[in-house]
Amino acid sequence: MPARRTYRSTLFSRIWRGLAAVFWFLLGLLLVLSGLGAWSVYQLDREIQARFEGKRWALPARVFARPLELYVGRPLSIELLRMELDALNYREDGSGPGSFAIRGDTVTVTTRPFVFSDGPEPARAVHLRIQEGMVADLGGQDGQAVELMRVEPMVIGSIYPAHGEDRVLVTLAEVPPGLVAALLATEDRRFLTHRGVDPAGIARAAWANLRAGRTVQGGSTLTQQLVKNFYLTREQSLQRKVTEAVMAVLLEYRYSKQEILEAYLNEVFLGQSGARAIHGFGLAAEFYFQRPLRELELDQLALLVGLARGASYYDPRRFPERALARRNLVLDRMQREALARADDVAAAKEKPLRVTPRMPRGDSQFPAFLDLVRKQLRAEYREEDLRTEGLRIFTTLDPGLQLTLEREVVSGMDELVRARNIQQPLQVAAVLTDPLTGEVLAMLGDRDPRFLGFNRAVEAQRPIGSLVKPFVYLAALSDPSRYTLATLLDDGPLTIDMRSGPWSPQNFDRQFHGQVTAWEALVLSYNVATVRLSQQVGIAQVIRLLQTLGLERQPAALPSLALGALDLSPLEVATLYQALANGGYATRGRAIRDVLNADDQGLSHYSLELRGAVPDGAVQVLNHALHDTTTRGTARQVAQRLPGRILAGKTGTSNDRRDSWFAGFDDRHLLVVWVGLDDNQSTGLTGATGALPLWIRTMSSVPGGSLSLGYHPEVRMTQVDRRSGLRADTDSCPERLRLPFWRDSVPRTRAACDVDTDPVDAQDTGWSEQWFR
Amino acid sequence: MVSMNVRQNGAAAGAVLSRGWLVLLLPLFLVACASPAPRPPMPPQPVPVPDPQVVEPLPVPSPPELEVIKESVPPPPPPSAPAALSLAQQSDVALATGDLRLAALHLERALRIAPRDADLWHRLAGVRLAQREFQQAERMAERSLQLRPGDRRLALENWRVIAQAREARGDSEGARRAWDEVRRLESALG
Repeated sequence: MPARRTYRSTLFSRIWRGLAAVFWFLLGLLLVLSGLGAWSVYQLDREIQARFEGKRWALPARVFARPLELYVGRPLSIELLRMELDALNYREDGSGPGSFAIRGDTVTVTTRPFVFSDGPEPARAVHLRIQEGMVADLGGQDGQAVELMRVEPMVIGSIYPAHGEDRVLVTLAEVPPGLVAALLATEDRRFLTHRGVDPAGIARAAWANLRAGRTVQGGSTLTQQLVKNFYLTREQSLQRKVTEAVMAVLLEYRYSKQEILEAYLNEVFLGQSGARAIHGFGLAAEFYFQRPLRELELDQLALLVGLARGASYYDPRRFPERALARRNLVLDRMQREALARADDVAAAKEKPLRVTPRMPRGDSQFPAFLDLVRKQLRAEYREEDLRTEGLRIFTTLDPGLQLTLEREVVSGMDELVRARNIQQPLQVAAVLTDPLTGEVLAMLGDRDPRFLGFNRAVEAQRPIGSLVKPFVYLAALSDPSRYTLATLLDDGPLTIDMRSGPWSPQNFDRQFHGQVTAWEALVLSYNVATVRLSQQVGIAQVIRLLQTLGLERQPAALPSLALGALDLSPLEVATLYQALANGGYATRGRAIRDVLNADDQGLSHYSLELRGAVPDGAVQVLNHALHDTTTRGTARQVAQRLPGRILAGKTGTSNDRRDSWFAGFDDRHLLVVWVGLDDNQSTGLTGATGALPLWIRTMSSVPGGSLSLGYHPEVRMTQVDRRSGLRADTDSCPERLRLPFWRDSVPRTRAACDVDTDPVDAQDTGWSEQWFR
Repeated sequence: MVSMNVRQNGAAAGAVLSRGWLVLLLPLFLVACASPAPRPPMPPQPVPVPDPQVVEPLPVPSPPELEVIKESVPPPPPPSAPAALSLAQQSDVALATGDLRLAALHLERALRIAPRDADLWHRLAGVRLAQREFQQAERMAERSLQLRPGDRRLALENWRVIAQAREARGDSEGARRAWDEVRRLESALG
């Protein structure tokens, strides 16, 4: 028996020991598992905090046009104002911020608030009267005069993060209450009370799905949806669901309902445009309605909320009926949950979708200008910062003038190609600047203004032809003891020995004109006389002048430079001409005014700078001849087409008519136009037949502008004989010119033809007088 | 980098519960190592850019002599836009609080409205002097002189800016000539 007892007791103890081992094993396992579980929860918690505390999103840089400044005396036309407000998507005859109305010459505008680098600009409602090309009256609703105000600037482009996510951040305070109401009614009724997961909601959804036999309801809370978008992949699995639920509970434990809701409003995916993903309600409002979120009405808010469930399935542009049904469902839910009044819901359901038919462009509407901005930014900012830091970049682009330039150049080019039956792909580039501040106002880099590619305005370097001549003459006129506009130059045959062989410059008309005044040689663009003058002044001196005015390269000192054997981009040409329109002061060319970070703190300011200077007396004398070029010279079409305006400019044509140029200015605008072929073949166009008509068309649509030939205390007007350049006090010479002379350079010798039969008072009578008999 | 981290976090978090408990530690360590918490955003660092090629400037136009001014009758200065005046006043307010940056911003905005206003150029020249941008101060004062040659009181103030700017740049000869001009104008004005 003992054996049996021993056996039984052994068996029992073995079983007992086995059970104990199993128990201890299970207990250990449980501890290990809970430890691991706690560890993984801890890790999830860390992950949640890391993402939520730091910078939550990579925000693209936004590039803005210059704001429209309004004040009495500002040059403006109704047409330009309308263009500008349309570009900002202001509603005509609407009400509230972002609307305007035009009654005759009076415009009522209600602007939106905006923060600039020098402080905030409040929203305002004003009346302005536009008369004779300028703002004549500006007053607020209260009848008080408004001295100065700004309309918020339009966004002209963005620099996106590499993954293409785009968003405009909103804070909970900026969000219309209707949006939150619609969101909670549709997506998460118990959001304010649950703790991240909503068991009742899940049960209800499960029951509804069971009854329907398919998925008709989701039980996810807003918090879970945020976790899914924010932290997890799109993969569908049970494990992921569990992770999602754990993270949702952790998120709710760590953060307030407000913080979670705000993150959701900014994170949710609401549309797609090419590679650009539209995230958050702030951007969605612009993307679908071209309007800030705070201006949306109930029906529009409901539409956006409806998209949260499936932005491509309910895409209102592609599937308007589906989107409408979804919107109305959202409105019904709001009514059912008592989050909207029945009559408001009924009114909202009556409304059409109201989505703008065209998708706003993700890339820039003005690619050439934006290209210039990016080039300027890349010199100072890392690409990564531009794409992710939410910088705000304030540029100098004038949208009204940009659209004007595009319209006139495009139609002018069509006309040119048609009239001359040009078969090759004729191209064009143009730069419009404010020469007094150096700001680039508008730019065109291709015949198609929307084409994003080779930007001829900045990158094409072409021989500038006679555009260089004013600088040859300016170099000469800077020494008034030796050169005036009345100085006689020899326009007879000339041969210069060069290393490559003899060079004999020719005139455009293949003739030589003998002894001519400097005035005539410039106004009629004689080549041979100009080459002789440049030889006397010294090519090195001309190059030095060009560099003083902003040329940032070192051209070879060849005699042909005087005829424009110098390859420049239209932007470089504009830089050089700016000083002529600005009293001899070169200004720093700028496309950017300010860069602010996401918190509106200034990072860079591109200040107004005066660079090198040339004597303004000489510049004034030169401008007189450049004005005569537009009345009597190679560009006399200008005076015919734009009578009554005082403008100045110069044509340029390169060898074999490959490049057609015009550069000219009024008191506030400098416009350079180039026309040619990319393969550098001849176009058959001269500066006067190609670029000039485009220049005239554009300038005729630019408000304002007569050049002030100015007043210089050391410049005096005197009549001279056109042939000899000598003084002609009487009218007995066959043709007299009235020319400006700087300092003591008035000719003392009287012309042979100037006989005192009929003495005429040779006193100065002012600039406005007829210069020619 | 931020976007990269997002993707890594997302993938790793999914892995936590999908790989099973036994291989749990490894991905967790990977998570811990691979995705440090995003650091607070660094402000973009402006990279210094070299100045464009410095060229020898041509002689700057010497401001007109007084005798010439007497002979000629300059046209009256263009009426300053009230808008520009109001910005000039705002710039004074900013100056009173010592905010040179804001003062300059207001004046630049005013100059976009009235770029031929000699008084605005003079004011900006003064701000640039205070900002120790001496070359700009001198050029802007000269531009102011150029724009309203007949105004001796303004000329006096501009020559003071020019003299100080030249002194600060170490151009003692130029400064001496400018101070001469200041004294001459002072005695002429009484």
